[in-house]
Amino acid sequence: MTKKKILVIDDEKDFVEMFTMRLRASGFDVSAAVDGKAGLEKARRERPDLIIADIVLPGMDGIELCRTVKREAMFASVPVILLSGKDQRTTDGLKNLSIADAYFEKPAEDEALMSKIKELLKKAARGHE
Amino acid sequence: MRVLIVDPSREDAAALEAMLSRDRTPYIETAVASGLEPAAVEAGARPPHAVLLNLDLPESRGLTTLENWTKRFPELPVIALLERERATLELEVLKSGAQEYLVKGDFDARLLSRAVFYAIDKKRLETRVKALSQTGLEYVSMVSHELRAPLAITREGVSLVLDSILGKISDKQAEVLRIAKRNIDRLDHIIMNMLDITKLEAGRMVLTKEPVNLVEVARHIAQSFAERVREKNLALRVTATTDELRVMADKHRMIEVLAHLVGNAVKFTKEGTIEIGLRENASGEVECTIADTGIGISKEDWPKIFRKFQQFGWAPGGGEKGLGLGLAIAKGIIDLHRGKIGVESEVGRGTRFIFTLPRVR
Repeated sequence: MTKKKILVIDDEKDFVEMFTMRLRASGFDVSAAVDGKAGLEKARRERPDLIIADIVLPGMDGIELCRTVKREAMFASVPVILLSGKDQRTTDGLKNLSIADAYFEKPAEDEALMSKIKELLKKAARGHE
Repeated sequence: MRVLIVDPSREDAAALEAMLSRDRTPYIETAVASGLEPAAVEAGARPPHAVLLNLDLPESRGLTTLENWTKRFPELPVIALLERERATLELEVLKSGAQEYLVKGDFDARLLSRAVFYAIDKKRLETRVKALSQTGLEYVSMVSHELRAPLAITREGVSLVLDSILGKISDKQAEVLRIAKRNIDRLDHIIMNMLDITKLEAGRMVLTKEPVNLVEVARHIAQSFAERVREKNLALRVTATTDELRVMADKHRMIEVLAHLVGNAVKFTKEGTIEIGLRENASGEVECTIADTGIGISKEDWPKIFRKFQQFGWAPGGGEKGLGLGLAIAKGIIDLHRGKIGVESEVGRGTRFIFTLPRVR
């Protein structure tokens, strides 16, 4: 079975480095981008199986990125998880917008985030059948 | 310089005018209005440097006049003119927005002009203090925000090693990292508290209200404290007279209030029980009581208990000291919801924190 590819979009390089280590240890291929525009380009080039983006990004923010991704046919079945470093209120506000497939706050409880990633990937794979 | 005299008595107003213009350098210009409305028109058209305000006007009397005026013209220094019989309003007047006060018949020209200059300078200082305070709050808020990202990254780093993702670690290494992680969480907690208190003080806490079942919230909190309570060999239970006691509130803030109150109860109780009690009281309000069998708070300390940075008593178990903001935040949130919160306690027996909120169906 080929490894699933996850695209991480966050302008905090240290965070990306840590998070990538964790994702790789869980058996995923990881690629990263530091802002929305670069993220979108990478997504189009590499066709990831899942995208995780911080909502605060220079230029195009995570929410805008998510909307753009969801509009394009080639990403129709790619789940998007948005991360927010803010507080519960922002997360709830985001949930009400219902644009992404899941929302987590930073710092995220690793177990919860990892299991959500696996769940969304499984769902997307089933959608292909 | 321009002074606006607001007095319904033509004679008194004339007397004041005469006192102010007698031998004055620099020359003081005066304007007279006989009531609140004409005064407002005058102040709007030709803003004065200070206002001599008789509190008993045709449109309103006493402190209400002062409150009305300062609401409309918050930037103008006010010297309240009190009629002899109303002299007892002195202190209230200073607390309600006036910078100075004079009792009619008790001052001469010298005292009058001194009061005017004093009021102007006092107003300048008050404005400055308020601006500094706002800046301070913004500063704390910005710094606190900035601290969270590096903290999240550090926590993730510790987690990575602790979860053996970068290789197996020894038990001792794991123990040390667990302690590190716990303290990172403590730091984050303190930062979140700082952010909350600055929001409350700056009047920036926004509530998203909806019908919230406090019984559900209580049970949720009880569950989140289950492990800590087990570690300390305490009992924690939720007692409710009915399964649904709803209030119009911000759910996350209600969780926060209970977390602070229960957290304190757990912290200061060495043995026994912590009980979250919920019922509808005689006034139809939802009443929530967090009762513990802890070390208690002495009566002298009760009035101070909800103030910021207060720490009372020795918290057994060390390493549990916080910033002392929890109760101030809890009270701030309850106040914002227009509820009431209070404390009863007996040293050595235990403490009860009780708050009430209007019930909704």
